[in-house]
Amino acid sequence: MTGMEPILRMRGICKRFPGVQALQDAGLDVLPGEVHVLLGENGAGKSTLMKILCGQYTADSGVVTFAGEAIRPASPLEAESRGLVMIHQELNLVPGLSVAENVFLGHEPTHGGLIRSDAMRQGAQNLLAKLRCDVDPDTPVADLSVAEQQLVEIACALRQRARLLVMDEPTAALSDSEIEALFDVIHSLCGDGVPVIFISHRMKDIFAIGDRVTVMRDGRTVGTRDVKHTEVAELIQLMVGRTIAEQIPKREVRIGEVVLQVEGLVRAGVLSPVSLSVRSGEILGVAGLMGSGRTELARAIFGADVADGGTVRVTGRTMSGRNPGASIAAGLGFITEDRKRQGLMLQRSVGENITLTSLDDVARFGVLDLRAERERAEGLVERLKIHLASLDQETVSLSGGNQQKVVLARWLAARCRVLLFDEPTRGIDVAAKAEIYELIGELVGQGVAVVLITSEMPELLGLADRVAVMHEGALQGVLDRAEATQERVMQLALGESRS
Amino acid sequence: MIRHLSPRLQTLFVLIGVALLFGIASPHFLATDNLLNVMQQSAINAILGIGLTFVIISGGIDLSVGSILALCGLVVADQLVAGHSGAVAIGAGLLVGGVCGLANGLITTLGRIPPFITTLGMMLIARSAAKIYSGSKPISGLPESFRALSGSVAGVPVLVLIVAVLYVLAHLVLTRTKLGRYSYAIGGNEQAAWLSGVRVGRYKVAIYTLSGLMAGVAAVLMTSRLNAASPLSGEMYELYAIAAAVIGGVSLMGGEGGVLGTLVGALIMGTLRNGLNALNVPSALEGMVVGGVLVAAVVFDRARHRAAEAEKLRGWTRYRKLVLAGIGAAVVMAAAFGIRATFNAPTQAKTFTIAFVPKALNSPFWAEMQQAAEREAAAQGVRLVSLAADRETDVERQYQIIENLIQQKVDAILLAPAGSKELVPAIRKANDAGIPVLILDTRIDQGAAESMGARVLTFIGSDNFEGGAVAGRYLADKLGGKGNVAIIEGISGHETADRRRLGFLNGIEAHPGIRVVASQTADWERARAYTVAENLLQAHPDLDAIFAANDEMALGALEAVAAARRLGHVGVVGFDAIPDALANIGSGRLLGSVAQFPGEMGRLGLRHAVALLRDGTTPPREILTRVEMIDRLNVGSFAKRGMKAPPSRGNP
Ligand SMILES: Nc1ncnc2c1ncn2[C@@H]1O[C@H](COP(=O)(O)OP(=O)(O)OP(=O)(O)O)[C@@H](O)[C@H]1O
Ligand SMILES: [Mg+2]
Repeated sequence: MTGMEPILRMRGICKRFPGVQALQDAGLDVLPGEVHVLLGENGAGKSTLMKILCGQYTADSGVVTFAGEAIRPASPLEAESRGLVMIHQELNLVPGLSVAENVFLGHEPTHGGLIRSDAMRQGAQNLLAKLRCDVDPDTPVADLSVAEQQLVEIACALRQRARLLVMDEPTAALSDSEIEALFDVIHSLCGDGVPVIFISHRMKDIFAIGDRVTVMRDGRTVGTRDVKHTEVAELIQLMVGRTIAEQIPKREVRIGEVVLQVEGLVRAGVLSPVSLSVRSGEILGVAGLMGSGRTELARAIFGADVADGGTVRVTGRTMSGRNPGASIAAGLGFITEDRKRQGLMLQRSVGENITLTSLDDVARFGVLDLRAERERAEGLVERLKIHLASLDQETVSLSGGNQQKVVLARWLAARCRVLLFDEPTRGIDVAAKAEIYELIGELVGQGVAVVLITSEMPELLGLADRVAVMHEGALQGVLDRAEATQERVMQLALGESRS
Repeated sequence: MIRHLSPRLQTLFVLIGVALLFGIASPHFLATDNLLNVMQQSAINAILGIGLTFVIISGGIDLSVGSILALCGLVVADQLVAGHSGAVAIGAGLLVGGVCGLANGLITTLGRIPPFITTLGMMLIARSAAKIYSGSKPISGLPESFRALSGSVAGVPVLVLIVAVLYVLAHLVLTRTKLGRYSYAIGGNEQAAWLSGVRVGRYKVAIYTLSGLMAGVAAVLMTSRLNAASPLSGEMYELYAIAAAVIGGVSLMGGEGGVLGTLVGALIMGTLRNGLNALNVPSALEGMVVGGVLVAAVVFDRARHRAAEAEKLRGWTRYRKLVLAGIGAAVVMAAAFGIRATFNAPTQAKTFTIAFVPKALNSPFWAEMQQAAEREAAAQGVRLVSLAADRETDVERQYQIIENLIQQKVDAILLAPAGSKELVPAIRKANDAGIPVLILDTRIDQGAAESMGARVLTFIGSDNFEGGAVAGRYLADKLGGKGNVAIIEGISGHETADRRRLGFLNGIEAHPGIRVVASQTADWERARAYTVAENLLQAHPDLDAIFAANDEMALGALEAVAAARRLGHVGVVGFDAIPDALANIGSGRLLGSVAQFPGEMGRLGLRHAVALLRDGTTPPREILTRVEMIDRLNVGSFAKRGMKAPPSRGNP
């Protein structure tokens, strides 16, 4: 690849937000037809740099040259007209519209002023087929899982004829087979000479698809490497300025009484009767393919969906009133996977978001002790190392990974006996991941029972004491730590019964 | 902290700017009395605004507060009239408000019905309940002690003190309690709040109950101020309260804003209305100005948001220009009117200013009265100021207009009262300020006036009873003394409506062959009359004639008759002889209409006011203007006589 002229050149980009210098003299060269990976900690400025490229923000200073021309797009529309297309980290679909309508939003094929829905449906189906996704184009987006939404978002971008495509953490929500399909699509794009800038926190992705990788730290670009001539340790060193053990530390904790006991929990058409139990200090991993009912199981346990039968017992007491409020009061907590729709009040301050579930601790007769609340929030920000300018900042202005940490902070504050984690490390950088593993270790050390839903095999195998595997809404089997290997988990996840 | 204040500060600056502008344009505006006046006049809106702020912040909407206000007001007045103590009456009013709000909340949450629908339903239900409860009549005759609520303490109106206390409390609740915090959370992301254990349903119920309760509080205060309660009060008030909140920076998307902003928003609206009155800006323009400010506020807010979120400098400048242009236009307009006002200001001490306050200026009837008064004023060399509410039923607004006129120290007021009882306290205020009041068109309730010690100089108006009788005799004659007739009444409880109906019954008394088969109200409205007539025609195939108590309703009924293909079989007679009716009489569709002479009322009113001011001549206590039956035979000559008002009894 050497000797080729870069098609995109960014130099000396600076960007300041109230209270933070998001970018400081950042720069980037992208060659035609390459997959260029951007790597960096949460809040390093990756998304911001790409938003400047694609016209969502304007830089305070710096130059962007694309295809030999200096550009300064003032809006995403202007950038799109130059062929710069971005798939956002935060999903931007209209929930009420169908998949096809979302894919063609603003570019509907028309005939004499009328929308040709058949052409739209067909087009959407073709694009999704390329991603090996068989969602019906007529389904409302609100009914899709996060992964499916991510695929629809990618389809939107593929519909436009991009001359450069930016993908901001497209794989965070996807399963391995979907990721493979995505990589095939990326390969064919690159074959046509379209460069792809790819942001991901998954080291695996980088080595599977990347040609070159640029690492960012604290708003600066600290180095570019050929993927072939580097290794994980070097990248992490660049990223965080120190080395991090790749091994997930498994704490030895004393496993105690059963705290969560689920018996015959069933939801018609969604969950076949599920029974399981988790002890204090234990981590129960939940594995399964996309759509296997893992999230649905967690929601049913938590009372977010009404179950058709079965009981849930927390510390021996059977839960009767099934709703989140009652569950939390009984000591259950649920960290949802979709932070934008089910987690955060994005327009409200970080502080308010953190203390939402634990206001009772700082309130007397419904009156809040604002100082105590603030101290509590500050403590959690420190403990989780959330990057922010101020507690009063709108949550929407945090980087994606830091938003995820805010959700975690809220549930730490609630001091639950049982915590259900649904993909807790999605979109979180390596260093922060290690911190979260540490944190989960700490929690079980304190006797909390943890249910961990995750699609990341190393995370699952590294942390879980036992692994429950779901398949088509049913509990296919539970493996002990000793017998849980990648192969066994996959076999069960694909529907083979326990032998 | 600064960040939290800034949007609110912006609206505060707008308020101060607007106030200064009016201060420059009108010498009366910045007087302490008038500023207190503005606050008093904003009070009802501000109180409703508290409830709406909570509701909107939590992502909902409440359209029912105006109707709940009417219902609660009646309950309070009724309790007082029944001899219960003030505390009991207030308690009952608040209870009814709270219960209505509770119902809103329960139906919205348990039924999972969008609040827009629930509260729209409650708006209709509460309004209807108010009419049934009161028999569609205003309730008055409240004990003097209850007026204390609208008095003052150490020069500050009690109303203003109450608003201040409520706002301090509301601000604390919103910022320092779980209820407030959860309101934001629910509006910010309802699903997330629910999954975080917020008892969303319970808190929503609490929030809607609070909103209903605030309507109850507003009702208590308004009843005390007007010394009466009417089933028609509070129409459109829900929208004004929403406007106040939005101007104050509360986002209709939920999750954003605060009560202090709403207070400033309500004050901006009050200031605009009061200031425009002071500048004698025609009231028709009021909506344009307030509406303009509302839209500008939202544009401004969006622009600020976008600037903060995306820092798209170019977009921001574009909006800023737009907003500045809008504000500039408003400034220029106000300045122009200001200059006009100064030009028209009396140059010699001798010129009198006389105010003319009709119920509204939205029909030919009032327009004719106003034009005649205008001509007479020019002839007499006095200045005439005409101000009116947008709708005939907005009693509180007419009350405010009179307060503003008192501030301006006009020399006399010609008033066509929108409510025969509710305007009595305002007349009393004018009396106290030494301003004579002459009543046009609709009588003031004798008992209410006496109990409050309010005095009016004279009543100048049509003999409505005689008008009804004329119509009755005419119809009886046309039908040959035999047939079935139906009456479409005006708003029941209105003095005019009652007298016309009674007059009509009196007119047909001598003809036992004439049978009244139905008598229903259509609230003076054309569209309502169409429906009522449609039903009448269905129910009574043998109907021969319809008497409608005004022409608007007569024309509605006429169209229903035409649609039923019974034109020529069912005759329609109206009242007022408005141009539209005359045209239909000319073409033979409408049988006839009783003519009143509004021009004459305006002319005589002005003439008597001037005579009083110049020579101290007191007019007779009652001057009845003529009524005349107009039908196909005399419609031509009547139209030719046009504006030339015919002589009438009681001419000075
Ligand atoms: N609109 C905004 N207003 C204020 N600060 C912002 C805004 N957008 C981003 N920031 C800040 O800029 C910094 C860089 O954020 P950015 O989203 O680029 O991080 P990132 O590298 O994409 O992180 P992640 O891996 O978590 O997605 C962060 O500190 C973030 O809080
Ligand atoms: Mg990002």
